[in-house]
Amino acid sequence: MIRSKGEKTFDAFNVVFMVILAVIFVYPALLIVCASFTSADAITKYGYSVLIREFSLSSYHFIFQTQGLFFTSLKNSVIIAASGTASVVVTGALFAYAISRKQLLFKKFFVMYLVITLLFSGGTISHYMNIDSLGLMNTRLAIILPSAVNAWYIILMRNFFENIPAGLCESAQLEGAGNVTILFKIIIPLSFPIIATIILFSSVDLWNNWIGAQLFIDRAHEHLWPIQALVRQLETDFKSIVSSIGGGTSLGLNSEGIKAAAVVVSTLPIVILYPFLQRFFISGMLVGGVKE
Amino acid sequence: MIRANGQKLNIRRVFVSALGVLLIVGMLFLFSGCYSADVNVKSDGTGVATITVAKSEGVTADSVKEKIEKEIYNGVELVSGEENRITLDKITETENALIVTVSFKRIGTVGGLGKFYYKNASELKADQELRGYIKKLSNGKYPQIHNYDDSFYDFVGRSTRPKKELAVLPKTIDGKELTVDEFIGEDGKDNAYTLENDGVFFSFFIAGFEGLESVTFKLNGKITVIAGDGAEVQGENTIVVKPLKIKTENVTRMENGEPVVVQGEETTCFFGYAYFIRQKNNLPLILGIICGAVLIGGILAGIFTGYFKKVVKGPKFRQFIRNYDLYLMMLPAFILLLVFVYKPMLGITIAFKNYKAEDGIFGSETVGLKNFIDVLTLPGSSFWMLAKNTVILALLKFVFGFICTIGLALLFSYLKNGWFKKTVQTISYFPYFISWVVISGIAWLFLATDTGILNKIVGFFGGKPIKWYETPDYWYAILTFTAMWKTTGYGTIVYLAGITSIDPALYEAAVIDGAGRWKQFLYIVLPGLTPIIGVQMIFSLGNLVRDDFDQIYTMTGGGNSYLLETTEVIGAVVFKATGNVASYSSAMAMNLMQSLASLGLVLGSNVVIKKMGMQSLF
Repeated sequence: MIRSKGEKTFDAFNVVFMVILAVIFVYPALLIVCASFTSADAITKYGYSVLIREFSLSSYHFIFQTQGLFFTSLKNSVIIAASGTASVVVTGALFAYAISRKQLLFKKFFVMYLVITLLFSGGTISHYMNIDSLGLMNTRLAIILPSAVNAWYIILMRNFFENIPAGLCESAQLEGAGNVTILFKIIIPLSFPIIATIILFSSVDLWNNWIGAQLFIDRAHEHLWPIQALVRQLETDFKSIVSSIGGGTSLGLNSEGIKAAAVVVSTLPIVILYPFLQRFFISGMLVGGVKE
Repeated sequence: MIRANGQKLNIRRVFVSALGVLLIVGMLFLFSGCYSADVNVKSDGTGVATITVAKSEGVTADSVKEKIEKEIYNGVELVSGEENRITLDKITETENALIVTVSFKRIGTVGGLGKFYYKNASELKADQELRGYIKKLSNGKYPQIHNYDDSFYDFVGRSTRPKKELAVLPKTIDGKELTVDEFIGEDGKDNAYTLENDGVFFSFFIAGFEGLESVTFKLNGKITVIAGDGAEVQGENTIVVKPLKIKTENVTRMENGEPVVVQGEETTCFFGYAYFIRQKNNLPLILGIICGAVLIGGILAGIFTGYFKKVVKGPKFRQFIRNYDLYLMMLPAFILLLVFVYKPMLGITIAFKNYKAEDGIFGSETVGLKNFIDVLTLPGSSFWMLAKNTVILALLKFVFGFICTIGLALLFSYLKNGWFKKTVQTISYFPYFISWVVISGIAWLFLATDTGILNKIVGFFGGKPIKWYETPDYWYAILTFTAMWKTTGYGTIVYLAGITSIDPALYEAAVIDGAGRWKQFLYIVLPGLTPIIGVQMIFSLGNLVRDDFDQIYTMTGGGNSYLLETTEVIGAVVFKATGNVASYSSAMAMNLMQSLASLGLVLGSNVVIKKMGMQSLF
């Protein structure tokens, strides 16, 4: 295609703009990584900078040598994200398959049952009282169970399942396959993109969740906190939390560096998984995002 | 004929859906059986005590208030997050007495205003201190008391040798006396009485409160066993205790910083305990049963009128039976949604009530729209500020969100496919996956007053450092910018897909007609994107009254009092209210107004978009 002069200048400016934009997106992340490697003196003297003036590993030393709360919280996050995601996928795929079938009676009712949960909820206080009345306070289940099913993901999965050629399922049915066989042998293997997408979103959501812990797990049960809750406590209440992590007093510690290192460590799993999952979420998101 | 048929069909449909609705409502009520009177008293205690103090010289409302506040706040060891475990509600004055009402919540063992124990029956077995206390009392001995003001009471008791008539022994409410072993069991053994009843043990002992006439404790349950001199049960759940004058062996008091020991003094005090069973509120159960009865009635009616026979023989029923596994598959998600989404919706009713933990959701007094009117009109109410912040922030994010994402998607679409485009896209999507906790940590690097980047820049241009975290004016901008930073790149995915799905022939035709990029944008790209914009609009419109509490709370450091003016939103108030039962009802009222407004916007925009002939949601 031949481009006019104006279009050429536009494209050139576009590239320059994109470079600037990339810097805006990358610079803050780079900054916090650098802060985590900078010594306390350099931070107070020169402020934060992407130039590391005095390299120091002390922040990471603190985090990884004190075998305390940091590791338990990482473990908790893994437990919460893994079990929550597993149940979101399992409960979701089962429900989505059922409402994608023509044979299902009262289909409209079941779809409405899902849609209502997307439009309206009882609010934080009701949720809190509910968790309390179920006796789930100060347990990991208080965070896992409410997120063990997600109506939005079910609708995404249903849309995907409905796009799978009906002939495949019908011929399997003629061969005598039941609903369970069809779901696990035909539908799920064909739905890899959507399931990968849901795994990505659900695990990231659960990994990033701090509100659940803040609401339902108190200081006395800090060994149940997920990593984001711990990082948030570090940000707001560094002094009191440091002793629980195992550092004794906060005196002489590089508090800014440790906060930065905590932030970096808490995001690292997402950074590592991101490139692998990236190719799925675009296709997966488009399946349901536009439709419905 | 056709009409009759149609009518019949309608009746059947109405009948079936009515049964379905009843089934769900009934299940909800049955589920909510656990929403009982003791909703917040699972392992902690809440309750009310009324203290009557005789008026005498020097005893005024102020002096009593001061004393009680001292007792309350100095005596209680505050653990973070459990502030105000005992709160002074009000002091009323009668002719010859002052009546003080205090409420206590979430107490395990609370010191202050005497000392209370509040323990589950199952914990009694292991708690040696408490067992020792009960046994001592049954032997006519009283424990030593260490008061808030460092005075130390050492009791002789009325006898050093156990005598039956002097001992404080447990007695059931029917008047049957129990031995200590019958009540709490021998050491290390379970006890049938307490464990079977699964109750809560509540004890009280106060010493040295001069002028004390009586204390009334209202518990959340039915009292079954009581022990203590001068303790009486009123009704089912109220104990009135009257202090006695008891001789102490010695009292150690701090006077001018020196401990002074007084021997053989008479002191006002009381000791005792009660054992009570937490009561369930039966209303939901009854409603559940009513629903069940109507349901069964409907089924019976169906059987007798032959309706079910027709159904069972009909093809639909066979279809149902053949696919029973489909319904089983739906069960896990169905139940989880019922328990964690639908059941909490019952809690909305507390917006119309004066919610008290001891009365429960169904038992609390109904006050109609009072909470809403209070929230909207009371002079001290922060509602309008919250609403303003919520809407302004949402509007800013709405407008900038649409402009930035659509703009960026367009710019992306003009990039040549290749590594550069891919890299920029990958980078721009990433912030979406970072938590607000992390972003707030990063924002600190920019906004910190002494070390932050922004103030370095301000300083470079000769400006004075700005205290970002103390100046509310900047925060609309900060919150909007960070939200854009997080979501813009990711938001482009949908629009990019829309742009790429536009037929390339259209562009070619436009180029031949001499249309430049701007014209192409106006006449090809924008019309091609309208369905997507429509759907995105519906979602976003609902957000116009919602708040990104997650973002705001983390970014400001959580209730930063300098910034409330522009950053406090309804979500934050509701979040904080979870720690304070007294504010449940008003917070719920705010929350409900917000949810309904949001629902209205979503449904309204859906209707409008349908009318405009665009793809709608439902």
